Amino acid sequence: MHMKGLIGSVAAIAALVGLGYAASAQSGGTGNEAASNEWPTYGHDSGGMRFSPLTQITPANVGSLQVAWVYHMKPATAPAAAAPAATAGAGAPVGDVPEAAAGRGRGGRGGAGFSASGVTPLVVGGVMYLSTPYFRVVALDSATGKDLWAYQLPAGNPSTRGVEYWPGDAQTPAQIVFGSTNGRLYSLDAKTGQPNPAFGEGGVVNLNTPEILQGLSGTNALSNPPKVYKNLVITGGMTQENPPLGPAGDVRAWDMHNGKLVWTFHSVPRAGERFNDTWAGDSWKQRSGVNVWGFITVDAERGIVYMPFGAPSVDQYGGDRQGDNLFSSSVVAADANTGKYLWHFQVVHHDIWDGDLTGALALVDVKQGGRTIPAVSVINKLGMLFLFDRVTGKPIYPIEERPVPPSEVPLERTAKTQPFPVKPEPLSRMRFEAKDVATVTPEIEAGCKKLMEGVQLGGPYLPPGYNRLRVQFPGNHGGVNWGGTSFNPQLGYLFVNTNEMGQLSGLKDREPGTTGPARGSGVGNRVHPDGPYESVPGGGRFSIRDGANGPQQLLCQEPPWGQLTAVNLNTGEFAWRVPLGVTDSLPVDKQKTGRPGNGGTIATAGGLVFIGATDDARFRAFDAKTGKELWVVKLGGAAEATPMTYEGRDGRQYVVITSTGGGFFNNPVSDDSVTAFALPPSR
Amino acid sequence: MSSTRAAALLAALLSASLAARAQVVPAVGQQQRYAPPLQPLPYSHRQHLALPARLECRQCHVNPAAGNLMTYPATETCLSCHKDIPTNRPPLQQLAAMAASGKPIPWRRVYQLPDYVYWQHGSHLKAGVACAECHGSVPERDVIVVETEITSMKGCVACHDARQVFVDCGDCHEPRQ
Repeated sequence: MHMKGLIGSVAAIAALVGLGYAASAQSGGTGNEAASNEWPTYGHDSGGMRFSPLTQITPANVGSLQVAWVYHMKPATAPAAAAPAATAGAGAPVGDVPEAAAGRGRGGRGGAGFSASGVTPLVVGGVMYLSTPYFRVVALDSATGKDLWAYQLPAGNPSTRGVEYWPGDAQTPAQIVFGSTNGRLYSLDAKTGQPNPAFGEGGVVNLNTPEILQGLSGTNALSNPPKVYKNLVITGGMTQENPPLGPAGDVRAWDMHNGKLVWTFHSVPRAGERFNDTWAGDSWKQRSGVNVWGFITVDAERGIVYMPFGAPSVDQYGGDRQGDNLFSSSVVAADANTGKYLWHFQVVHHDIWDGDLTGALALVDVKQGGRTIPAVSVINKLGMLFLFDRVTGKPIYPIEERPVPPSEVPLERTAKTQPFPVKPEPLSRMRFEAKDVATVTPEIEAGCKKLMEGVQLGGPYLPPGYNRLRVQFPGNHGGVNWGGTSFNPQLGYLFVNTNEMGQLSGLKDREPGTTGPARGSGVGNRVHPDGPYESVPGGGRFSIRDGANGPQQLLCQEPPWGQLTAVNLNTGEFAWRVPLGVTDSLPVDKQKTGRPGNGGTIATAGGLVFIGATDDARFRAFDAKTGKELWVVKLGGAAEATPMTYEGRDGRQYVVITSTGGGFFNNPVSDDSVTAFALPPSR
Repeated sequence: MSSTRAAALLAALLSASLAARAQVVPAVGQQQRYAPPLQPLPYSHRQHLALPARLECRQCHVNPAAGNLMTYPATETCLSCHKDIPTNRPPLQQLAAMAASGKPIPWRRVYQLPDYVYWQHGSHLKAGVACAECHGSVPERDVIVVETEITSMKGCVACHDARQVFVDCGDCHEPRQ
């Protein structure tokens, strides 16, 4: 076991832990975290409500928030993240395709030496824990942001969105558990940062087991924190978009004491298992994708784990996997102790729209007719919100199977129908017609009309075109991505930030005589490498860019281009909806278009909703009841992360956001800050 | 030891050394094996790299200032050796004809990335990545085929993980995606 850079402040951290926070004693999958004044797990509680009971910061005083401290994740000794554009070599390109246009290449993103992060820290017992994109997991004093310890991984990077906390027991002390980009699961002593020698081999479990790899190369990495339940840590995995055969997307549970595998849930049913017949022939064999790359939720009281599965690989062509393809793009409830199947619902049949479920499925209470229904809210990248009784799987609002367009692609067999909830209405645009083109400025309108020439319009569930492009809403990014939702149980409101971005894509027959894998240019490598089709040139986001006026994309439908919505789950209606974000390059009176982004909301009992996420590099607070924007601050980089809040040992409520820039929206990677905001200290 | 044998031995040693480092990037599995593209001229890297001249990759594949791509050799580069060699063999006659046409030789790229992927050869060379880590033992090959998964996401990430060089989604994927 390599141990580099362990910063020892054990006495200090022991003192912090010894302060005896009642909240911390309840954390770690016991089901009582909802009352915590800290932030003991990614979603605040195992049910993923992302709701804090803190009330110090309110709509009346949020405007007074100021920076309390800033932690810079990049260590002084960190190597450069990547070299900027190279200057080596001589001469002009000869006998070759021309060089790519300016703007491509790492140098186009700034080359500032920073690395991007979407991390949401945890705070337990006065200690903040977070993964950094500098190959380290660190512990900080949550009141000051000062280092307590740091653990440097020997290889790979820790999960970019955070870590998980296990409170320990008589046998094993409290642990910080997290995955890595190279498919390892680490367990570190929460007090010292030392790997638990009894966990796996020297504190590390290799997630790339033979059963997962299925005889092929690949990695089962973790981009998100795993989920603790009792003495188990439950892992999903990030497999691969392409090629279609590779690591399995199975969900597994491991014993926190020793790292031994306890149970496995097959995301693609094997031969003889129920629902295997939803895959034609042998198309289930060695299938990759169908993985939980998002967040796992646990009903700790009932012992049920909720797994949001993504689409199969490849996710825009399914001619090689006819059928509904369970459990792809499905929510599956299973016994958290055994992994035994309980119920499921497939949100997208035979997914060729990349309609992953990825945001944490929030466990919420829905009040109807004088009774309270324990529910699970399920939202996927296509922006449709489904509500189920989380014990029985019965829909709370009716769901209709509605006819959808067939595919033009000769070997594709789309499902004849797709499920639509009667309530709530879709959170994102699902259709585009010529009349919907953006008219924000004459230049945008003209550019977008040119982009639309020859493009198939329509929706919802318009399949990729054949020998032409089509525009899909929402596009591959969503909709609603991993930012997911937060829930205020006092109001009954679920808060959802949505991207409004279309995607152009289409397939055509491969050119005769071409060799090598089929190319999916413009559609995110979503063609079968050995299939009969390649992508129609010109695919990509349904947007134009004006590089002279900044990096932000200009989307081709009328705004809003990003929204924040409060859904009253008790009625299924929208309580309020507002544009989220500004387009800085537009004239002042036209800037409030809303913006796309990554990351999500948190809600507080103080009556607020906090969110970064948008590509305009702002951090905002909204009135939870009305949607009124109450506070906004410009950051050093886009905050493509979900914030968190906690009460420090000094009694102050802190709100923390990570803002590095980067991500999928052309933001430069310009910062390494984790910033804590608080009200001014009382005098 | 003749200079030719010495060069061959050097090439073999170099190849073995580089092959050992190449294990970070997975070799392509049987399912990912593809036929080589049909090139306009027969060309053997094995033959050329075994010559006493001790050619290096960058002598023919220059990395232009922008640094995004390596390039194919200019026809003049080929002629710098071949102009004095009798052109009685068909491939050399073809070469001479192409040179006379004034047009570049239409070599076909073997390793291709989708257009949404950011890529710079220059930054990787600057970081000390050896050609063989991604392209295999080229000095042993008569015909170049895709033999590593370096053009796939898992190939890229495997190498970045091993070297602990951070990579973000947007580092490789065109923002329009």
